[in-house]
Amino acid sequence: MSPFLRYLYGLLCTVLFLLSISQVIEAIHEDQVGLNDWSLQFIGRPLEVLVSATQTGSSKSLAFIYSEQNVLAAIDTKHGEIVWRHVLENGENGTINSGVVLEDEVCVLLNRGRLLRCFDTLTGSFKWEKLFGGQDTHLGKCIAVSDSKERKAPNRIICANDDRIISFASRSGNVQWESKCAKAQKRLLFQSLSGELIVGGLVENKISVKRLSVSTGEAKNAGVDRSAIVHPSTTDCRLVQPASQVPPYLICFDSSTSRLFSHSTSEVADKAQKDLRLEDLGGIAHTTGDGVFLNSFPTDGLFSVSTNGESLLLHLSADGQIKLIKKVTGFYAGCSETDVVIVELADQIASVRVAKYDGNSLTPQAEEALTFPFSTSHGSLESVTLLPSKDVANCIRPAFLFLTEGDVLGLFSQGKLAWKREEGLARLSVTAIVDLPISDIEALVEEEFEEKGSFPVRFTKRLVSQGLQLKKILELAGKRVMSGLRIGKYFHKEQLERDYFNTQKIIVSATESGKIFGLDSRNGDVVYSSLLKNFAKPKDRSIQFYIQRTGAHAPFPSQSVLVGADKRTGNGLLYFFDCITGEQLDQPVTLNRPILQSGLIPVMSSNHLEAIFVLDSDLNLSIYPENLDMPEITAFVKDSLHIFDVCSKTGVARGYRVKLVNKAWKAVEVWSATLTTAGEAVLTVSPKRPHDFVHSQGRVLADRRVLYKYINPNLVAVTVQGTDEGKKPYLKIVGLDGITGRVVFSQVHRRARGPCHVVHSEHWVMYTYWNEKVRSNEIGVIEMYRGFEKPNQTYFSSLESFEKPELSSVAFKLPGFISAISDTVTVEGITHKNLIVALASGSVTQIPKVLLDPRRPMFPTQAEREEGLIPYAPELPLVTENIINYYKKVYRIRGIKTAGAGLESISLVFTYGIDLFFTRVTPSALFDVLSDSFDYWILTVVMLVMTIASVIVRHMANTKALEQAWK
Amino acid sequence: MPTAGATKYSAGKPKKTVSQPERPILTVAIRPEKLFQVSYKGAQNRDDLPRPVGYNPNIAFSSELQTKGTDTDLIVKRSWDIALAPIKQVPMNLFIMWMSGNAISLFPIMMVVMMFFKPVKAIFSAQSTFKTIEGKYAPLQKLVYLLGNVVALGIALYKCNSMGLLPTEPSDWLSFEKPLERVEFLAGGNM
Repeated sequence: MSPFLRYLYGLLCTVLFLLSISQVIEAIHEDQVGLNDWSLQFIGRPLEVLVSATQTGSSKSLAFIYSEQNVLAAIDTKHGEIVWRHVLENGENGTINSGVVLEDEVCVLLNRGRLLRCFDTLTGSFKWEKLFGGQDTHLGKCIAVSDSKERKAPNRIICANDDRIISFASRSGNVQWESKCAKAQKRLLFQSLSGELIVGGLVENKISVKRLSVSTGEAKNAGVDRSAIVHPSTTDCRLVQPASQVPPYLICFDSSTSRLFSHSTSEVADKAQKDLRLEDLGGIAHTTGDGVFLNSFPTDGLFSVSTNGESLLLHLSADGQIKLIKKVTGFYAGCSETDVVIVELADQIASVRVAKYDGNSLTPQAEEALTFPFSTSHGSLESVTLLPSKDVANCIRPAFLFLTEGDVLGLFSQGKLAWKREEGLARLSVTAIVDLPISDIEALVEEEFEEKGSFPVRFTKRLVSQGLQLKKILELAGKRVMSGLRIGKYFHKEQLERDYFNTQKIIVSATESGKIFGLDSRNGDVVYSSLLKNFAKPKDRSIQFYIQRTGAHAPFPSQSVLVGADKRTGNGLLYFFDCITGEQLDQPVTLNRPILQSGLIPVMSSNHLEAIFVLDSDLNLSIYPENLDMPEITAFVKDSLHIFDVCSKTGVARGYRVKLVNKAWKAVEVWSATLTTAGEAVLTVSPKRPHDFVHSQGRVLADRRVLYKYINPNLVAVTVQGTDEGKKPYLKIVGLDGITGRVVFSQVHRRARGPCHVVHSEHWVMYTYWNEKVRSNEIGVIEMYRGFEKPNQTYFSSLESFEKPELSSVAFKLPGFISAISDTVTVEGITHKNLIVALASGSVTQIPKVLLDPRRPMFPTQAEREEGLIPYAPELPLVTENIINYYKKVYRIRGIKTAGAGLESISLVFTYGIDLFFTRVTPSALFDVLSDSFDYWILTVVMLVMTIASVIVRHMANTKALEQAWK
Repeated sequence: MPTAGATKYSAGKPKKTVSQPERPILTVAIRPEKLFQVSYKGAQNRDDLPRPVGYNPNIAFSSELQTKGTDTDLIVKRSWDIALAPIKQVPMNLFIMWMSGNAISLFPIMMVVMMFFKPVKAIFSAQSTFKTIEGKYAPLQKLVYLLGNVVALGIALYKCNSMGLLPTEPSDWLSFEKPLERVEFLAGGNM
């Protein structure tokens, strides 16, 4: 190819490149899958682990788990991966009450005990389901039984809900028999060792027990009713048989009264009915509401009670006496008829022992206990489920699945920890995307140019700093070589540090139960996790999370604070930690009262720290960290700070100012307004982001006039739902100025109801609701403009501004059910905004803001067309190219967090729900960086060829000129 | 005819040779140089000889006079041509502008650039152009020349304006407008 052609080719490439960036490219190519995005799947907080007693026909050994989040999943016990997963219906309709596993199917009882649904164990494919009917049913219970004693594998499912007991054949789902029983608020169902079916029912102050035949459902006795002080919803029971010839006992624990009962199932008058306090038994402190786990053993008469990480091994004698055998910080599990597995926690180490029970005491089988590390971030041990081994008699090397308070699911097998899963990630409730610190070398470079001190000082500083830099570079090179020799990776990054465009961040999140996670934004790896002690969600409010200092301020550690409540008292609790390492920074602050509101004070102190204020229910305001005594902060709090609060119960909105009374900050009510009337309830309150960057102050029309935006940083959008006289719901959206309480706009949608999700940014508010009339989700948009007049001040004050903005509003239909919505955020706010919408179908899609423009005309004029307004269409198109998670579906998304990167064009998106998904979006394409497809290779070749050609041609031209001169 | 051809190429003698062909040729053969000798002596005032064909003794004089008169006229005319050239371009420019339309695309932009480029270049190289402008109207012509270029520039500007390339509206300065500073700061609103 001649250089000229090469040159042409290069030129063509450049032109093509320029053309390619002129339009938005949103879809990704096959080879870009997982390049900048990742997604993780979870199960949620497990309620029960089901293990098939006889697993046959599969090479994989599976454990089935159903969770609080209405998920049923099968986990490969070898690697801890999800083999299949079903995200069941949201809400009560999908809540799993009970689950059973049979030979080749796993069945769950859903929908308040009304529906039994079965899936194939290996593939997870749906097999059959049965609807029981019934209107006002309560929780039900299912067990798997075998109809004959010879048969080990269960082949029928017996389910009981509040008024009937039904037996189903496995595989076909045919009803074998059905039996009626007295109504109960809580149904208990067990199979005794002798093969009888024992049905228990709890009603307020009454326990009824009945024995039935498994094969026919006929009653073997008339049933006994006993009075007992019992609360059906908080009571859990197990069947314990003291000896093979003695009728079994029902052992129940009522967590609302912390009492343990035992009831004989025999019809003879029960003399040995026991009513014990847990404290009397073994000295475990139990406070109301703590979860209690009752566990029955294959060993005669043994059972255990676990709460708050402590377990009591108890024995029930044939005459109904309960005595304590041993107490342990950990858990007991029955392995065989004589052996008990004890998992004990001490000093972040779990030790596993197998002990033999001889009727009186436990004797450990082996001297040495098997141990595995058990981090404090796991919390206490909540339950242990033994996996059946092929040799049942062999309990020496037990394998078990354990579940902890910090939602860690793990497998201990072969004497070591095989795997663990952080299921707490499925329950995130607050999250932030935080800048990482710059690398050590860059930090040294920054220090080098600090302009402090006189010339010689600065000069020596510079020399020293450069020396240090050299040392650091050499150290790093040495480290790389060493690690390269060791693991074969020369460019392995150990430390989290910022990349060139600041796209790599750390995602800091917390759950409502006080578990903190730090995730690497490159791949979703858990960098750190920790479980806060006594941390809980405040009553009626959500937990709050503030970043006080990011990792960008090199010598200082990053700092963030989690605002919640003390589990025991409900008073405010502040927990300070470093969001890069997860280390606790200061002692947690416990307040004397519950927290009403909290927020960041946007005044940066000399060490780049932003303080937070906390307003307690007694309207006292305190500032943390307390030692930060700066006049700027004092002035800010006194002059500028206004606090806004809406009581979700009463619907009263209040605005406060802060005053100094007796050297203490006190909030003073400035205004209050009742937003609701009878039958109305506040759904959402959406203030703006504290720092909402809006680059353009207006919109240019086709005639080149400017329509100025009404940007009120103090505007708060409140949605209220109510029911009108005709029992039809309606939705009200009110825009309030949070400083003066002035209503800026108010709109009502008839026959509309929640769930409502609101995005409030720039000069617009978007809200989603369900339109009952057309039965579809709609997005309403309100834009506010101040008109064509240029604002004549350089500041915005709510106290001085009385203008009524011009509103334009419109609603669009969205084909899909919205579970979360957010807008993209960039560094300077120059880039267009896209709306990120998570749909219930599992897709996360982006909708350009241009489509959600209330100014979209029905029939555009020439001028409107010139302005780029798209003609109005009531339905928003869901373009498949705009689905940012392509085929990686994510379910039950509760929130979307967006953050800017170092590049203006990039916005980072993190969606969290049961699944996590992280990606980057470019709403206006990558306009500030060369695209990935840019051919550097061709460019280099063209440049080289051109240079060489010019040298050659020059030489040739010289020769020719010389020859010409000689002629 | 050979004779006629001879008279055409010889100055003096050939006439004899033509009129006396009977003379012995031998002498001619002996001294050929004498045969073609040209004498300039007698040529000083030979009125007897007929004038060469097409020779008009008045022409040199009169033509000299005439050239002198037309030369100054021509200079003035030529200078006017130079001076008026930019203005003459105006209708053409207007036509091109009308043809190229107001859309912001490559062709109209090139046109506008050309339109700007030409008069600006002309104004910058005015010194050398002015050297060729002479005559009594020179100052006026220079002024006209400059004015013409200014008009061309004006038209280019007008074109820019009608294309919306001139930052004359507030919308053009919108991106320089600073966001309004907030006086009060609202916090809270957490549910």
